[in-house]
Amino acid sequence: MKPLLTAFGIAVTLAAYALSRVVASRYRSPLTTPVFFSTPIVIGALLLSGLTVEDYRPAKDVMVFLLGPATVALAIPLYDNRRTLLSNGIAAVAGLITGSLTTLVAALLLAKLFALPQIVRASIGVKSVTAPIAVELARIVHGDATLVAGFVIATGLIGAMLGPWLMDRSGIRSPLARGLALGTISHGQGTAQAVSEGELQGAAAGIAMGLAAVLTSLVAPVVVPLLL
Amino acid sequence: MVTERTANGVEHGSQVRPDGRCVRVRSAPAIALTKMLVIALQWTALVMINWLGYSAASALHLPLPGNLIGMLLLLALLSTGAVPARWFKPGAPLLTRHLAFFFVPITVGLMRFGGLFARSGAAILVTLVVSAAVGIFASGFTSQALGRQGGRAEVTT
Repeated sequence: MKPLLTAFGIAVTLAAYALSRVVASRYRSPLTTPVFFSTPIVIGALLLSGLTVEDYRPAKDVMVFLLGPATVALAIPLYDNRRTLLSNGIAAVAGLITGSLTTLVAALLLAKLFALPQIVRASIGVKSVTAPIAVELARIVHGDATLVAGFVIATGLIGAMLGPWLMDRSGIRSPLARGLALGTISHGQGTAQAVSEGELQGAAAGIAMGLAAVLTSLVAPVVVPLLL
Repeated sequence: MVTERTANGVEHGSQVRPDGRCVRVRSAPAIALTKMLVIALQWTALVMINWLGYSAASALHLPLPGNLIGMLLLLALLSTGAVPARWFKPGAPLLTRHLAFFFVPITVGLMRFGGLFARSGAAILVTLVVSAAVGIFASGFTSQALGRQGGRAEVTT
């Protein structure tokens, strides 16, 4: 029965993902991003078949095997875009540091203010880090990997939808600054949004995403316990 | 591509190029197989770098994600010129293009947290929206203010 369950889980997930790619190619919007669109389909399929998260776990373990190597592969776009960073060094690094720290501290303080459960507070600080690194950071800051993944995806969506509007309103027009802010706060989804604004925005966002992950990984294990 | 011997004597599996030379062409399945093999090799290399990253993290007791160390390791290899980026193409871009796929199975686990979102969903949403907004503003404002020519970054080469 086990192999059959695993195969079913993988098949449903692949089908939902493929469907999201087809839909996204026709209607491009943050709402048709693969995770936002596909995850409810998979959850629905599991509930309809009377399966639990435990039944799905073996399938999940098979599918995430290549996630680590895929994260390593992110070094290549980072390397390809190094010129953008080198020619705008100080402005880029300053924006990156203020953005990463501000969002980390703001999330932790708000979560404390709302008296959210401990596991949420431990998980919410690292939500601006690109998902493959954030789920690993979850373990280090004693959060929950699944919750972190959810917060990361939600933050990507929020930033991609809200970010361009917010920056228009507040006079942030420099392409470098716009790309950098989107990549720093909304990682991959923000980068996709930045790419649609222009090449420089996209390159800046890609770099910001990578460096924000490095910076937050260094800072979060120290700052998160302080603000819990 | 010519698949059988033709009247002018072109050999099976060969192609006449515009300059008149005759070139041997591999069959479509052979090309697909070679490409798959190349991708498998590139993925194996990435798996090994990832494993090195995790080993380094645990051996040196670094509070850093192993995959992040792996990424930095590959970045160092590329930057020093030890390894050219083309060695990882197209295998690596194939993985990063579908990076989102891996988060579908991970976020499916959120179904365990139905109760939490029913109770604290609104507070969580406010926290996420406000912290994202201040982060975007802080980051964009700072880099625009420090950018060249009063914040108007020009595209340089």
